[in-house]
Amino acid sequence: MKARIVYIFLFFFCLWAIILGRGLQLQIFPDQKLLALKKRQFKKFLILKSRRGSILDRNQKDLAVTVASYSLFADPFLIKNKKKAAKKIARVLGGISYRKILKKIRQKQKRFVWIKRSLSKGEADKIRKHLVRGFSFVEEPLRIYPNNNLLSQVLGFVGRDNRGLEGLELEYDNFLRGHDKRLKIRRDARGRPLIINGQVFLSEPEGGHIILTIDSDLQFFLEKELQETFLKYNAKSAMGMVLDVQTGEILAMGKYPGYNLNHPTHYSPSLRRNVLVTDAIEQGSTIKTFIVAAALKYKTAFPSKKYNIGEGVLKIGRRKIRDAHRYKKPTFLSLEEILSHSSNVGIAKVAFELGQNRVYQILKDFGFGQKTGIQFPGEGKGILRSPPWGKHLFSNISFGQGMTATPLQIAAAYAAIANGGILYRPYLIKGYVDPVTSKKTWVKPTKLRRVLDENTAFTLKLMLNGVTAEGATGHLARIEGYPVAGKTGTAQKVDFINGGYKKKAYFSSFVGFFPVNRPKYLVYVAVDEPWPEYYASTVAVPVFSKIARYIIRKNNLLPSSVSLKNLVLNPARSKKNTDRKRTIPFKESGRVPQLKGLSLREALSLFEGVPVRLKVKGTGRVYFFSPKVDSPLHPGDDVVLYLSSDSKKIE
Amino acid sequence: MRAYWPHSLRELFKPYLSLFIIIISLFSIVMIKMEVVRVGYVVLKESEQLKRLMDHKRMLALQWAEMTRPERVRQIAISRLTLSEARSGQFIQVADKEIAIRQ
Repeated sequence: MKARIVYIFLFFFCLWAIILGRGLQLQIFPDQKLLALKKRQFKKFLILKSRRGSILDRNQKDLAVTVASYSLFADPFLIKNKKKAAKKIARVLGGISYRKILKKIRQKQKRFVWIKRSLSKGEADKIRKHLVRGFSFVEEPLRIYPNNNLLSQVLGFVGRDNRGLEGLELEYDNFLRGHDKRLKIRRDARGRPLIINGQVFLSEPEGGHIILTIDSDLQFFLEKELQETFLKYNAKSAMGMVLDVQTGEILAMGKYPGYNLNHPTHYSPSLRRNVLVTDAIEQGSTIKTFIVAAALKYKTAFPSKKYNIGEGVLKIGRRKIRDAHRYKKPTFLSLEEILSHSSNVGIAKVAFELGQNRVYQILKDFGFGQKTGIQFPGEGKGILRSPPWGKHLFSNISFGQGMTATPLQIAAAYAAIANGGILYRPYLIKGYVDPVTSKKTWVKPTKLRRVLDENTAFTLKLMLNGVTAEGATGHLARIEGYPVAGKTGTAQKVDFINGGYKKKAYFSSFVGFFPVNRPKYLVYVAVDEPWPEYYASTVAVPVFSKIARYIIRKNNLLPSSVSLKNLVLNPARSKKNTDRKRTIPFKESGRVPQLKGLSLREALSLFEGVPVRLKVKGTGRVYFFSPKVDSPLHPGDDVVLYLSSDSKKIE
Repeated sequence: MRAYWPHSLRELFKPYLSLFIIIISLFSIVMIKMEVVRVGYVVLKESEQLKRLMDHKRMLALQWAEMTRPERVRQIAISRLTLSEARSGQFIQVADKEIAIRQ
């Protein structure tokens, strides 16, 4: 009996030993075939797609962000009742017809069809509850531009594959895209990754972020003013730019009409191009400043030197050049007056005195005929032929025809005059944010070269200040308390089809900087083909003035000059305000206070927390209110404020 | 004093002690490996949750950007607060305690 037990025990022991032994053999000395199978089943490469980095403005406001979106797809092979499935999905999805879905899922040969792309998480969660077999979601990145049209030509946009196609999205595509992470991992039977050997977690890689020099509030104001000008003058387009003359930072840059960055393909390519950087055109009289700069630099003239401009007509060979203003008798204009009155005849004579080589050299020094080097795709360099020039071409070049330049080149060149003679490279990128360490790296301004000495630049600044004097072409640019310097340009547009110049087609521009005594900001404004008015003095100059005033208010720039004419009593010290401070707060008295003369904001702040129904009619300051002053106020009472902008009503 | 383990029992278990230790160690290794895999699943779940929260954060940042865009602020100022664009001459730039300039 005992022996039988032992034999049974030994039998089962051997069975288990064989199984254990086989297990040990497989673990320690595996078969090659099994090894290969294990590798195929368990080891996989996982690619984590990098999330595209954001683009921010100088105040860290988002201009372009990437968020997760969910795209619905179907596997027609797995869908049994296609009609029922299509009806259900169409009902839940909305915006896509049942027939369209049915057509897609009837494609038997396909194992993957898109139903709808780029749904938000909320929409995807709603649909997920009603999904049938054969439908599923895949997560895709979606690039969103929260400001729609703002800075459209500068930012550019991305394609479906999240690659930059235009603008800064294209220029900095590699940096923004980052690097995908490729991980060698093991998966379990359900396909879930096995985290072994210290792989902490599968964090999503990100691309770098870029911080622009652009101020989005200023950009919005600029684009709004350009839109108004565009509509007012039935123009082909209106464009503008604001630069910091001390560094070359571009604070705003835009063109109207623009396009909605979230739907770029709905617009024509011409609207998407940043013409301020890419398009070189004949700029007209704004070039005259550089001829004057050469005259001062090479000491062939001084501000008060007189030139005989005759009656405003100069014959060169068979052709004539004319001033916009004709004179009844032979007239002499000083160098300063040639600039302020924008005399073509006068500047041609100054240029002839200098000679072709010097004129060519000064234009090259100021960056014409070459790229500025701004990090932006498609930058134009303009056309500036090297001498020798024919006499007529030479005269044309002196007043900005016969050569082309981009608005960016003009702005950068004028910025060099404003800052005392140093040409800086204009730039749009203020800094970079490392995607891994979040460390910020700031871009430093790039000094290209000195083009004028400080004294010459100072003299030229004063002469340009004369352009905004009373009676001069830029007088509408004047801002009380802030001396402005600048130059107008009204250039005829070239007719590429028939040759020569188009009739009734002008490019009107004004470039100015302020304050002249310590320049900080430069504003360039241009209107393409305004009509019926086309002179820069009436079309472009007022836009400059509005933008400059906004910049002054926004940055609280202190005035450089104050006169009795524009001086007002500091409102904080006015008697009315002092009286208001002495009254008992009406929340304690329970009676209507004196509201006459208050702004809406002041009136609203008085009624904060008071349980009355406030009604407002009109805009401006309070000139009448009901109930009248000192009337008792009870909770739920109506208080009506009548506002007006007419100061006579308020007094 | 009598020993806790009778001498006979000790002798009985002595040969099997090392085997017992080996088996326990092997089981422990297996348990630890299983625990590593289990923790791996927990980490994976937490990383998915982290990703969801990061996505949510990005969505909130986007909504904030959309709500504070200059065009919208201007629209609200005009339509709801009945404010209007200031015209030239309405601004008074305060430069000093005593000095202010009409712009």
